[in-house]
Amino acid sequence: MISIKNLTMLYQNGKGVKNISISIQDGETKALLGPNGSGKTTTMRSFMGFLKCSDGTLSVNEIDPISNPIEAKKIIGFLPGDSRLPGNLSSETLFKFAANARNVKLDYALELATNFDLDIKQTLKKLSKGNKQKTAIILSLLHKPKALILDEPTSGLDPFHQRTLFQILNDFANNGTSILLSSHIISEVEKTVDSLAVMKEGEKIYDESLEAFKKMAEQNNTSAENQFFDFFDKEKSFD
Amino acid sequence: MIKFLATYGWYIIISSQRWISTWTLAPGVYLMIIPLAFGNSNLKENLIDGQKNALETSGFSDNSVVLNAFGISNWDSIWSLEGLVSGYLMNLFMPLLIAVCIIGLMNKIGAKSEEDGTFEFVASLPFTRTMIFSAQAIILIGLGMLIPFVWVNLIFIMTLFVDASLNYSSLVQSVIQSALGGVSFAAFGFAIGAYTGKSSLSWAAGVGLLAMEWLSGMLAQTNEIFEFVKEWISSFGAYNNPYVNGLDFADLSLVIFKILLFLIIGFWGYRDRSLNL
Repeated sequence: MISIKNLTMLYQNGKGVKNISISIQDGETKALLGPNGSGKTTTMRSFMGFLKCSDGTLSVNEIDPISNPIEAKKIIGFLPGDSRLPGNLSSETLFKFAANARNVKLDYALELATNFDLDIKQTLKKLSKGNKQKTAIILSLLHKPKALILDEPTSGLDPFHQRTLFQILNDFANNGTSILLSSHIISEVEKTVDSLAVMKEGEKIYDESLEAFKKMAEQNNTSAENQFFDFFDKEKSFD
Repeated sequence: MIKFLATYGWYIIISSQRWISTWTLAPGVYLMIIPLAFGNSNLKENLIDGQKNALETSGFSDNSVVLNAFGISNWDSIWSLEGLVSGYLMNLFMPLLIAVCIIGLMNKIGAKSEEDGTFEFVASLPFTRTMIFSAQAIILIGLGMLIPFVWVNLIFIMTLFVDASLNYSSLVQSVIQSALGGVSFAAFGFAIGAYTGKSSLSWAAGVGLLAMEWLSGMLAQTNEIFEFVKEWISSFGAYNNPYVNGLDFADLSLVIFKILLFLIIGFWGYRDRSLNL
């Protein structure tokens, strides 16, 4: 279970996230939605301890990732929003490093690489954006984590491998993994998630089940996508 | 902890292998020209003795500020192979090279990797900041000492094939003090990079300290403050030609103390700041 309570993290320019509370149960997949700069990445990085938060209580399976980062990161799989990896190394080398660091075997990483049609011998600088993203995804999954924090996981992936990713995430959720994944738009994740939270200018403005969200869209006689756009600017919606 | 050091150390080495291999071999190969020049009587006469005469004629040898600027403490001795290696190369050139090499390397795995985002992957692994900083500090000191050893060994190997000689144990003592000096500048750059997460500040701090101590040594005879810095603070000032005089406990202690102090400062800032992602 992932729990974020009253998280506040402000940058020097005053932007950041304020009083964010999000909870993801075992086996639940929650989407964190919002436009650029709404605070999705800041929330995720704060949870991982990369950013120093001024307030808030964080936990993953009752473990505080700030005070006990080793135990927490053993069970968390994290995918950065803009996955940058050393260009002179191959995916295989990175998998070996991560597997050693996490004390797990390489088998599952190789299985995932096969599922994603990834050439693991190529150095990262020779890979396309999509294949770099596959490498980063596998790095976040290879230890079969109990909690997944995925920042824009579909970025750069073609529709076929997006489908592969969501199948894998469904398997993880079915096995009890709590998943928090961010996206800009709801249509990308609506087939996968159980619930969604919407961020706007550093604050959470909506947090309900997908069912409740769709019901709200129905009541307003609009599509889920336009209902999502309505959170931000009605003029941007389109029929 | 040992498994972590082996795993993360391996990652650091392979992700920076081009930088490390280039800096380990290239300066050493270039520096092999020194024993070659001294071992060839024609070259020595034309190049080295010719330079000496020309510089003496120009008044260079009488200008202590200029001599200090080049790290030359004894004009007559640097015209021998032993004097040049121990009195010029290790006094000025080697600490400078080590500082640049190691600041660059530490930035690649530290502050610069935060800026370019490659560190986010490492930060997501089950390591603490203390573990990461400790491993980086070990790499800093380990490679900062190992790389100049490779250089001087290449120089020494060349002396075995030409008519020039160096005393190996004296050479080792010299390189220990000289490399520690370079590591002290790199440690300051690394510490500021770790404290701030900014590679530009890391370079400014490391090279800035080097420049300040170099200028203090150059101008020591003109000003009491510079004299004080040279005598009591400077890593250049702590190099008192161990090739001739042996290693000095006070000189070694000063440089080791500076390295430890800088590392403590760096860790203090690094331990719970936001990463510069």
